[in-house]
Amino acid sequence: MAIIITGRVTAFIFLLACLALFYIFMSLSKKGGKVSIRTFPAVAAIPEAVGRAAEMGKPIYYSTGYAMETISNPDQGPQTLAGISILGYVTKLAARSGVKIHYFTPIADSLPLVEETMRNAYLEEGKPEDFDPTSIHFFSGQSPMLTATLGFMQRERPAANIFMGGFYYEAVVMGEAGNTIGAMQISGTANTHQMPFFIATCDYAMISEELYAASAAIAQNPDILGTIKGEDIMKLVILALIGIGFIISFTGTTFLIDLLRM
Amino acid sequence: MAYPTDVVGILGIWSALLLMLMIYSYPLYKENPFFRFAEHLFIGLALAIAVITAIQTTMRMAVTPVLGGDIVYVIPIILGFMMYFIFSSDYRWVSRYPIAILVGSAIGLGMRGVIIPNILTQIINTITFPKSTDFMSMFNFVYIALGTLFAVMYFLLTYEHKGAILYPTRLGRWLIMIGLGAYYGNTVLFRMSMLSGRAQYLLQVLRIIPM
Repeated sequence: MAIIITGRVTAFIFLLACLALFYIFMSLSKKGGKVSIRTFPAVAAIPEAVGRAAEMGKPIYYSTGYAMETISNPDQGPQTLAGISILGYVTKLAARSGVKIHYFTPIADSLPLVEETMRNAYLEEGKPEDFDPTSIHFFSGQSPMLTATLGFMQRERPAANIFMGGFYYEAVVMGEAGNTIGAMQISGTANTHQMPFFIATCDYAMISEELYAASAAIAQNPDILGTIKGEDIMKLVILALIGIGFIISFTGTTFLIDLLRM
Repeated sequence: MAYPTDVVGILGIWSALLLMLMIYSYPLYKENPFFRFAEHLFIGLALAIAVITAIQTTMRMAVTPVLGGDIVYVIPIILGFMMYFIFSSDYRWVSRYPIAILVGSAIGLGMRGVIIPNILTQIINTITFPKSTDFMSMFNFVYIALGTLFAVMYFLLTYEHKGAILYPTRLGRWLIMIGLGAYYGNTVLFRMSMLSGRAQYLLQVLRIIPM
């Protein structure tokens, strides 16, 4: 069996470059190197949403979406984890203001993580007795969760709805139901097919990688911040490749394409 | 499918129709006892099906192989049981380990299919000069290449969108919005076809159109 397979050499170099960059920036970040994430209006609006709920005496609805019902899906799992990270921040703010937060999910294997995150948030705010495990609502599927959400929104009329994670068709239905009750809505998803619906129905929306970056900025975890910086450097490399490739393509040169196919 | 003639069949299609109308009463009117009945019935039924499916899957995928002598399947069974430590206040930490293994292995497996299709092939297709040099081909080539450049620039997350990258990222955002708008229209059409499917079912059950 050949060690070097034609067509995978560049991919291998790319993978090594990514890993090296992640390692370098994670190390720098751990040693105190500052990695600043750009400002997201959606994140800045979260305290406003919690404040609104406190003033109105209404709860907050939070969901990380369907996400294929597992955190082990390589596309959806990271979105759920980012959503749970932001949930920790929202729960802290809610605990501080005495606002009840209701979390809805069909993802069974995320439950230990969610409970731990919410429990810790209350603990950090010095109110462990305020944590209510029954505010975590599990449903055995996407549509049951959606149906329950619709009923919950009409009955409880939450002041703010926060959707952060891997959403599918439920995005537009939840967003529209939240609009009907006049709730302030903040969302974030990396699922391209649902971004338009969140943009249309929510007051603030984060798209694609903004979700991950927002969770990193909130958690201030040096490992995650380091990988975000490493990713940005890779994006600059990709931008350079596209820019150079685009210009030289007019001369008929296929050198860069051949290199990438190597 | 022909219109059913037996009692069970007729009861089935009418139950489906009534439950469908109960659910539709939410967007068409507002939250009401009929919607609530359908909501709770649906959640309960889905849970029952999920429990049965989970038991069957566990038996088929883990217990049967172990009983057949495939001892390695004991590992996922143990990991699965470890999740239940979430109910113990003293040993809740045990439930973190199966999650860490689940997420780590899945991300590792997922990584192998990312670089070639999601990065390299995309770059190659973006910078490949079109075979035909007519106006539309050239327009598409330039639009896609520059659009990709500006859209990727928008996703530079550790740089504030100001100074030299203010206008390129702003243009990138507009291009992304145009793309998402097209997506929106496409999905709305698909959802309309789903609605027409439900309307068709209503008319079929009422025997206005043939089933």
